[in-house]
Amino acid sequence: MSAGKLELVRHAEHLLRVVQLHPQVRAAELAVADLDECRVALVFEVEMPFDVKARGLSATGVRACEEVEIVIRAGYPWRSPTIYLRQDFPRDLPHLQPSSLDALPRPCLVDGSQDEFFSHFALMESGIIGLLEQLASWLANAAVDSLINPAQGWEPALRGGLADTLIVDSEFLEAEASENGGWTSYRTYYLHSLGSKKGLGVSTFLEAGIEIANLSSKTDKTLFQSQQLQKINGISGTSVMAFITPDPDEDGKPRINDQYLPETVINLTQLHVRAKALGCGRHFREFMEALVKNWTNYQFETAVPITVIFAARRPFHLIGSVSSLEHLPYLFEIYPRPGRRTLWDEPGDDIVKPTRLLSKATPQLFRKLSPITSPAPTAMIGAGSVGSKAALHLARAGVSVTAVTDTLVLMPHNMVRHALVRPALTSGKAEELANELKVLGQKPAVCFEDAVEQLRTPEGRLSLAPENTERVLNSTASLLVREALSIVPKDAFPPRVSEVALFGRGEGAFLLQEGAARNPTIADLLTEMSAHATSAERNLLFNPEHGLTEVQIGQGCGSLTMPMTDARLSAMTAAATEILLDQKPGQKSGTYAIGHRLAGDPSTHWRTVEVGPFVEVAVEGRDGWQVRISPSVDRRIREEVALYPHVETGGLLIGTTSARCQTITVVDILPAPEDSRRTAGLFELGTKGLKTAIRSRHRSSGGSLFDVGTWHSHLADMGPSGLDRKTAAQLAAERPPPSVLLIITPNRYHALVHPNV
Amino acid sequence: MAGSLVFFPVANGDMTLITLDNGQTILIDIKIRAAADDEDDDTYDVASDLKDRLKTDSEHRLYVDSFLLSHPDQDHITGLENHFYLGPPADYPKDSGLIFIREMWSSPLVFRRASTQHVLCADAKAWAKEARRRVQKFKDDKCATPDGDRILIMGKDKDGKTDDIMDIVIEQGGLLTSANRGSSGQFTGRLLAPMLVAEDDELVALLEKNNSSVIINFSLTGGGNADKCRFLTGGDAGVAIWERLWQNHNDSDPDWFTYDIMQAPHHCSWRTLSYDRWSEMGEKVKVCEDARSALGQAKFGATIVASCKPILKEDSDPPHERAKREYVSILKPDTVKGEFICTSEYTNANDRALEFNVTFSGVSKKLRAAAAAAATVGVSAVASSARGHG
Repeated sequence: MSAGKLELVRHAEHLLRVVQLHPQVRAAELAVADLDECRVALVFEVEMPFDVKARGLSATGVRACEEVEIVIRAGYPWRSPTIYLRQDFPRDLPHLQPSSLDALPRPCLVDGSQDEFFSHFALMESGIIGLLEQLASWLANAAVDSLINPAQGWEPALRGGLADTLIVDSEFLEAEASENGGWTSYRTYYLHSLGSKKGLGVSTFLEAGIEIANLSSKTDKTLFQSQQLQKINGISGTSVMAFITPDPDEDGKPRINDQYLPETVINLTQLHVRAKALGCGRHFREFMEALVKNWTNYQFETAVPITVIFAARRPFHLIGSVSSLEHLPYLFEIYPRPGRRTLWDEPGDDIVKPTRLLSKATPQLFRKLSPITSPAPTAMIGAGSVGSKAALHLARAGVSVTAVTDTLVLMPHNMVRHALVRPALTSGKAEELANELKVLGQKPAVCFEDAVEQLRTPEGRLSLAPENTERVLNSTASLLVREALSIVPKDAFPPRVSEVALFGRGEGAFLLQEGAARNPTIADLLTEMSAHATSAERNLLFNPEHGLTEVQIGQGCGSLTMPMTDARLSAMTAAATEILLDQKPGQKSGTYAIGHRLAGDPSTHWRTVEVGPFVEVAVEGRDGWQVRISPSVDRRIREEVALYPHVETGGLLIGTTSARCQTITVVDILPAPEDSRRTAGLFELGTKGLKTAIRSRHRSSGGSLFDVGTWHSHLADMGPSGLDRKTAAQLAAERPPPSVLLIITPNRYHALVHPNV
Repeated sequence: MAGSLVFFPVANGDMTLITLDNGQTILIDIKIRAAADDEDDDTYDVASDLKDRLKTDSEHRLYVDSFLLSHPDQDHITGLENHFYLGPPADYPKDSGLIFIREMWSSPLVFRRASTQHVLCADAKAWAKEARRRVQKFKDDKCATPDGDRILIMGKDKDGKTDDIMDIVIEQGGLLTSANRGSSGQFTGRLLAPMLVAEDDELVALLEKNNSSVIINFSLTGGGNADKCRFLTGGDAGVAIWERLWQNHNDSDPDWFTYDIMQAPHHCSWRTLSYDRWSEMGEKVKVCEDARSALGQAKFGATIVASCKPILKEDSDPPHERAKREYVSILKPDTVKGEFICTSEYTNANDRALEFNVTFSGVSKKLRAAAAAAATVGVSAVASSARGHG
């Protein structure tokens, strides 16, 4: 006996010892001990309902004591043992591996790779018992016919382990499936590997397109083509796939195939029988006739792979799908040899194999694989490093990317952090990104124009965000774009606007998502965020050491950018995009999320803050100008007023002013100095310590926030008084930036800016 | 959903958990010995197993929906004060880990009979005190009692003592239809005993001597389908009680006795099946045919569970080997072909509690969790006893 055999037999004897420990194993013996294969035969007790067990046989044909074989082959224990059931075990059960009727039936015991399952136990013994536990549960379910659970869905036939692969656009075929039955052929591209000495077997990969292949065409010479591929010892070419839907049932209703048919088809005769059993017989015959007719006058040196898919409508939806259509794909070949009688002259020419079926990369597929709450179709403004990465994250989560806008061309230095890898001479970032997204099943529009300009015209706005766009993600980090997106009226530009940007050399990032009806705007949110940043965030946001830096990218060519690694940029962009994808549908308020890396540590800390709508007050004396008061300031002003019910009170307003947006945004207030005077008819803002307080607030905001005016209360519903107007004039005379006089009365706000400035 | 039935291994004693199709729980008796609480003792840790199976409410309390005490003997109530909360719900000590009893099922009549026979143990007294508190609460608040204040009374008490609270009394022969006022349709429970008899002193004395217990035949729903498992449980009820039940109901309601699973009364004791003393007559003893009939209505494939220590021929009663033989004979005919399982023997072999699943296809023994695989191959076997290393 050779050493190899000794080794395998030793393993088999050990296996035998271990399986006997399982409480449901009634008997076990080493049935075969060969050089390349050892088989342990078991009698396995199946747990069944009491009455079924007493009867000894379940309605599905499972016995109370089942004969089972555990087979180990070369490679064990690096490979899992294989478990087989008896030859006459009922094959019309789901979760059986596809095989011919001659082979022993093999249950599918685990989700995924059985080798991985077997080896993930630390102890080999636990792996063996683990497999028996799976078998116990499989047989118990088979006994009561609950391998398929209607609530969970119809389990499609198992095809994962098959050698040949067909890739289709499942959603497209789903939509094309006719309830009246029929067949359509589509062009396919194939790659047929003839196998190599290194042990790679013969296999075929096919990808079906959505372009119809007209088999009756006399002129189309492109349907069937082939060429030798020396490198892989194979053939590539084009062919056709037939998609066949069943005829309606006798009542004229869509035919339901509720019988689970074992995957045992091995030749064309059996394929015809299977087609008939599924109600697809007539259409399959028609397709085959058309195929034969098409080849009447042609010949080929090589075999041509042909695929067919029968669409079986199941009584309920498939697992993990809303669809009840199961696609059953088969592969066979035709041999159009010179001087032939038929396309299948030689013995074995008519072999049929079921194939693996994979779905094309489509947003629908990605959505199934990525649980997200907000799949709103999104247009990208900015296709730089942050934008390109965010766009790919969105597309891979199945979010439709409707448009990509960027004015710049992809340059060599962009390769440091851009999501795309391109040679030196390429086209614009927007176009390159759009091309990449197309591979993921997306069809984004491309815009090379400046977003601020585009926002001015209806056509421009449509080019930024085509009609079905529900969300815009601005990644330009441009103040101009942010402001333009903040003032464009909601009805002229309906998508919800968001912005993602990095700061502090990638140590920090934020995501802004505007509120419903564009209130708060992303500009409001950024100002609000600046007012409430923590000291760590403030340091990163405003410290010039962490800001933009001129980096030399070629002689005499600077680039204003933040030095950081690609990994850092990806980490922050990914987290921000994740927050965007988790946005609650129908959320009314705006939010800002800000994250920063903890010192000396790759962990990042994020916080998300909801911000309600800003109070909008039209400015008297300045047409088109508006004061926007943050909800927290509004609340604090009202609290202060409540403290002084019988006298006027007031304080200083902190925020920003934008001449382009014609807005004064208030996000903080400073209390009135202690020398202020409060009477029933007058509030006089004191001066003691006020300058210092303003400077300190300005500094602490990194210079982003300053005093934008004052506020005070009126006890009655009266607008600005003569004195108020005089004060406004004084303020206007003292400094060029507009200063607002905000007045709160019991029922509303009034805002006044002197017109002469 | 699916229901389940767990028989915890407590040697001679009862401890059974029913989980209904909707997830509600009914606990029947407990025996949580100090040894089982001792982590260095090999006695099966039933308290942890029970707690792992219970749900937690919004106030972080583990709870059972209903708790039935079949009778107040020590081997049916041990561990109550250690592991369960007794008292007003508002006073529940936070993070104590005590199990909160949303609704008690108790029988004052059974208590009365037990206390004439022996002194009640501390846990039994604590149960009685809590039951009285809840009855008073019902008298005060009527049906508005919340979780933790609720109680159902199993059988009328004598001398009209329960006449003023009949809204919470299930009469003998009556039907329980919900646990803790949860949704109906999850189960029904036919209350077969205790029997309230007229002032027949001889009969009362007989019943008192016969370990009066609450007897219920449950019909459990599985996977939304009613009556997928009949479960007959009767504490320690003795031969006279089963004989009399059969005589009273055999003609009119034979269906009241059929079962898929029966808990052999009184830990498989001989005194359930016969008036004859084994110690005096040995193999000449005669089985009481009516009691056997009451206990013999096994359905096709039924299981009889003996909640007791391993059954040995020479051991003291209970469990009794002759009783086991009788039960096996009930299960033997081709019309039954059932199985007899002793809880301790089962757990010794499987290292877990005996458990059944109730699904739309019926009742079946539950497969083990995959985690048990490690135990099967002998993980931790090294630590099972002290080993010399010279």
